[in-house]
Amino acid sequence: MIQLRSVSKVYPNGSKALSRINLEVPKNDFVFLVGSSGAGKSTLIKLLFREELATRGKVLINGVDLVGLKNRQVPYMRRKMGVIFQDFKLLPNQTVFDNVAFAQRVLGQPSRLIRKRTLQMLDLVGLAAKHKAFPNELSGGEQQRVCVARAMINSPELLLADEPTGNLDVDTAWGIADLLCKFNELGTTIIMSTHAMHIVENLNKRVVRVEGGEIVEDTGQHALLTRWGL
Amino acid sequence: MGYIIRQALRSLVRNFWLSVASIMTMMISLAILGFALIVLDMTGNLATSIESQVQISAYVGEEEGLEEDVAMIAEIEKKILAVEHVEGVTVVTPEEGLEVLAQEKGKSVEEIKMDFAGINPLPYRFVVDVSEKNRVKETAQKIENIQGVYRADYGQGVLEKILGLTRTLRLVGIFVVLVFALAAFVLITLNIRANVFSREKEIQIMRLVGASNAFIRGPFFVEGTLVGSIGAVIAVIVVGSGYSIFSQFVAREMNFLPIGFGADNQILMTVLAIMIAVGVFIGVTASMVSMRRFLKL
Repeated sequence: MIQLRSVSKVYPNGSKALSRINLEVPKNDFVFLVGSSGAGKSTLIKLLFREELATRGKVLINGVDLVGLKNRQVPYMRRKMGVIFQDFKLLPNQTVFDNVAFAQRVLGQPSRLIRKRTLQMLDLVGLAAKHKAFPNELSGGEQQRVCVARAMINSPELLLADEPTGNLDVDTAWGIADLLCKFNELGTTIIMSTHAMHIVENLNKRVVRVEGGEIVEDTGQHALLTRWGL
Repeated sequence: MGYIIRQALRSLVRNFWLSVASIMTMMISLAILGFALIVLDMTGNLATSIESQVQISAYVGEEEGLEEDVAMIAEIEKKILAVEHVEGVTVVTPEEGLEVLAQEKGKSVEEIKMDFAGINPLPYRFVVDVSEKNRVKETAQKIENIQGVYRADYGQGVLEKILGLTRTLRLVGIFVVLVFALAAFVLITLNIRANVFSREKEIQIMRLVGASNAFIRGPFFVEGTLVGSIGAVIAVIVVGSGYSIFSQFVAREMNFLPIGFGADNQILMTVLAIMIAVGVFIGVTASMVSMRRFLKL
């Protein structure tokens, strides 16, 4: 599903974020991106939803090179993925329901369908009872659940999570990790950058370690090679 | 579409005073444009009207004692008629001239005569109609050269002054309109820019969830168009009622002025249409410019 071929990223100020990265993520995979701060994890995620463009190399999603994508095609590409962040990015003056419904409204979906699907999704993330609350009335974990609901409402094939448990305590972080595992089981490919090693070590998923802009470890490499019969 | 319009209205209300300032500036610039266009049209009409009324008044020379010689007057009339571009000649006798003068001055004929030691000071006058309006000057010169004609007047300078005034008005009008249009443009740009900043997070999320560029830009585009249109509509009301009040005043109090107010208000309709078009154009352009500069999509 995702292929990064010899991808490098140098920011305009000259700082090298990624250097000749090669990565393959098959459909329905769950990948943890780990590494110290500034290693290049967030840049890697930004390249995947085309917030940033690779300076060199190819970033392919379902065979489409994001570098060569025209600006007007970007929204359609993004509809196939969901993104969540450490700082939630919720609209503070809108209710939980409206924050989730927002992602469907901007795609021009009919109101009846929006209402039905939003309530279903909030039920799935365990927030149906709080759909009228405002973000500042929720705990950090609940706010991140709203973000997951918003990211998943349009049934994307891929969910990118940039340190989603960074602001949460251990128990709450586990709640979010469980939620992501649930969506992964339902068929969504998930790439999650994290420092929460207790989650990474316990979930037994593929781990890609990035240090100094390079991939220094990929536990899935062996499994992939086996899958391809190499 | 409903969502886009709701967002645009919300933005207008959110930056209420900036919106009001934008709308008022737009209104003022368009009202000035409207009034300027109407005044230019009127002065144009006035110039045309005066031009079409141009007649030459030729006076018989007193010193030659011709005023009593009717045969000579007829001879001069014949000569004037023979001049190129002359359409017709009306002879005004000194008596007729004196009566007209007395009427204009509001005095009796006798009173006027008293002012001139009891005699009629006026000579015979020929009122000459000219077929080619732009040949008035040379025709007047030819008539002046006829023996027995002392002077030929055609209201020299008046027409030139009016045309000069029209030119000045046009230049000043264009300058003032441009300054205000620029101010309106800048204010709308600032307004939209403020809204882009205040909705930065929302726009960021819209982009994340795959809202199309048109969808993100929609509210700002509608907002600019609305500011332009609302300003234009208020300006249209101001100019329309101003025009109506002024035309009624002129019709009542100054009906001697050769200002033509078309019965069908055609000029007013044209001006109002131009104002709406300019208002919407400025609004749309300002929103497009501010989006290009501030919405990195």
